[in-house]
Amino acid sequence: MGGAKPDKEGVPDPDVWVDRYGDQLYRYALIRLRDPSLAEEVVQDTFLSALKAIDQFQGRGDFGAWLMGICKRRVIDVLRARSRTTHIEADEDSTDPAERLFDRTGKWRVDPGQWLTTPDREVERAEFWRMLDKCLQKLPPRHAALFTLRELDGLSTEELCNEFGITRSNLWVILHRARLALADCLRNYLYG
Amino acid sequence: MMSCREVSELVSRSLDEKLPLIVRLKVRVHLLMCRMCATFARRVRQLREQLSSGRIAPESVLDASLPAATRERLKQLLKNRPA
Repeated sequence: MGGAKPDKEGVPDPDVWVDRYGDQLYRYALIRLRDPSLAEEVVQDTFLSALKAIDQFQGRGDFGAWLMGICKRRVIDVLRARSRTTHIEADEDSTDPAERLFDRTGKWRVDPGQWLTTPDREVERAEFWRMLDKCLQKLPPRHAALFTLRELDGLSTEELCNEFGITRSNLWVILHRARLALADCLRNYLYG
Repeated sequence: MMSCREVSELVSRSLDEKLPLIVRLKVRVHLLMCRMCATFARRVRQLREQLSSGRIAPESVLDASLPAATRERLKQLLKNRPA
């Protein structure tokens, strides 16, 4: 990157943005959108928005974190737009995992706890994420998106309800179904 | 007496909002007596801790990177930015 100019007021030369931040932004978007071409679009939008809004950065804080903030906003916009256009009925009709996991009296049919959640070593954490990721892929997309934004990104229930235009009780049902389904899926992976 | 199915819903909801005191007490009593529900509660809380603390950071696990063609296209786009 011989031709790149030094950082000016904490802003790296845009010529190095792609090499320095591209993969990080791409992975962030890919994990949440599960669609490589959409994730690429989000990265492009992030860079273009950052160029336009560069005056707002004014050297405050970490430029990478600022870019990530823009990217996060874009990802939520895409997820929200997608949840408006997908058939919500399909989502709601998806089988309630509770039907599978509890008997008619409401007792557990299977032990919900037989899955590892305290992976300590780096390699275990990586393996755990791969498993969780496979399980997330089996959820209805809207459920997976809401679960990820809530648990991984720490968005509040209020924020999620506002962004996705759903009621609190609707959100609770979705998050609970996601948690039950994930518990069941992780157990199956480990104990078949 | 609440069923395990109901308790699992309340355990899940407790991750998103504070339950009324009486409900919390009922859930706690159930969890003391029911190993399955207690394990479910522990697991979903652990999952939250692991994900929110960044201990399981998927970005560092995933080995995906921007495709070369997109990388070049974005570089050109940024190079040809309006002055």
